[in-house]
Amino acid sequence: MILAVVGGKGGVGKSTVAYNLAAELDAVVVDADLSMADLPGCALDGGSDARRNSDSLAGGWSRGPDLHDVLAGRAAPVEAVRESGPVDILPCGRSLAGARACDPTALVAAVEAVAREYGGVVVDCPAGLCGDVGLGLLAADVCVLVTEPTPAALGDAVRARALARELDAGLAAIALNRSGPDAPTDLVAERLGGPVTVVPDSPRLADAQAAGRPVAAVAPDSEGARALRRLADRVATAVSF
Amino acid sequence: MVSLEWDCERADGVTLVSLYVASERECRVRIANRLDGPVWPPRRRGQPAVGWTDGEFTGTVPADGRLTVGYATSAQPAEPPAEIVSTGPPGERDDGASVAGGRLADGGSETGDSLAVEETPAGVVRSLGDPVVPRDCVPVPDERTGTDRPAAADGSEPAESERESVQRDTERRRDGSETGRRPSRPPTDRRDGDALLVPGAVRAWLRDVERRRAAAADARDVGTEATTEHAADLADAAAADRRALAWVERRIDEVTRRTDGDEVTRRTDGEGVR
Repeated sequence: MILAVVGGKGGVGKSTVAYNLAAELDAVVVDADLSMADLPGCALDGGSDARRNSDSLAGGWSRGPDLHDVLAGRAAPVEAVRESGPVDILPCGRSLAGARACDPTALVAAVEAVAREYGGVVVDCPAGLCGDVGLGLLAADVCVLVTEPTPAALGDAVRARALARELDAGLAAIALNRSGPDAPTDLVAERLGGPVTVVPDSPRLADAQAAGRPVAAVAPDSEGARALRRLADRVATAVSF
Repeated sequence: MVSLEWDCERADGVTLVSLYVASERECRVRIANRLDGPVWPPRRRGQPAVGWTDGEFTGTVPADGRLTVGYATSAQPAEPPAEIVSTGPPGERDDGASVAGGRLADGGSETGDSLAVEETPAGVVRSLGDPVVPRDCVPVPDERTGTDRPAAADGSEPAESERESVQRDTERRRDGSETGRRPSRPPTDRRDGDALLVPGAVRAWLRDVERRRAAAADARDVGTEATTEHAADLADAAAADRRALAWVERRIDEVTRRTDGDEVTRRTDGEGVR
């Protein structure tokens, strides 16, 4: 089962949702943002969080093939999956030269190959509605829309929803991120045509993501962790993950 | 005979209704919601998908006799969630456009406002744009690409001149690093690895000079009558190259002196040069 996490607008929390969904669903997360990778992909073996953080900020990147190598034909997709971190991840390189050397259309076959080997894959799609998002959706069976209760984010989510429908990626769930109890869930459900899970603005969630760990491992009883568990349950009931 | 089956799923305050219409032959159906709540139809670009008006769906069951329709609502599930309110022969839609099979039912890929993305990797890129990073974003390529130099691969390239290597080393020293990221430097051949710091045009010219010099030497050694004229041409070309090289050498020295001077000034200002 391949799940694409899309949203249209940047900065709405797609990567955080994708990473934590992969943790909950025991799936491999693929960082499909070829030019602006932002998943906690260091996945350094051992070491403290502090070290992991500092390495991450300094651009430290554990050695091994990444998605750039896969899409340039230098590595097999399964070889590039790293199992050393808290979540299995197929990280993406961070150099623009690496991104330019890729064949983005190879993403579909790469993701499918990982799904064959590991079962579940969560594809963290980039912002926008360019070809890279379309390729992630094309590979996916279903999608999760991540949005925020702002006009700009909702407008982009509507467009992402239309693209997902066009590419036959059914809507498994909608994550309304950084929302409070008075979030316009009915409006979002109406405009996007699916059930809405509210994910509160949670510092624990942001901290966990910055530390490169799923929130369930850091603060399992936090509101953020509970919301993401609900979202994962929703996805799991919609599709057999 | 047209029959309707359904499936309702309730989650987080939203009921998702899936309808399966079966018919023995192609026909037109109108389906109305029977749940006590608003109908949230699928939308394209913010508008209800083709076939949906005022909470009712109108579409055509294709020749294979099967049509699926779905919508969402805030109402609680009930039996039946929807009903077929009328059927008729396939034909013209209300807006006059011809009905073209089942795809119309799921939102009308035939309409002009649909994205109509071809469902292949190449089709996606054609429709949505190639997400490749623009070449101008990559002024200095990744060092790792230096291993697959095309020039080295076929072995036909003469060795780089010493001057070129020296020049490259000078540049490296000046940058204080191997990669020497200088955005102002013109883009060069990304695949050319460690020769990146010299613009491609300069490298190509130097290679040509080397080739002409070698060819001129060969022609002189052979020395047959037939080749004499050709050898003279090559000798003229090699002489012109020498004059050009001398001019370029002076020019390089001049520019190098000037940039070294800039460097010294900046270092004494206490600002590190990257």
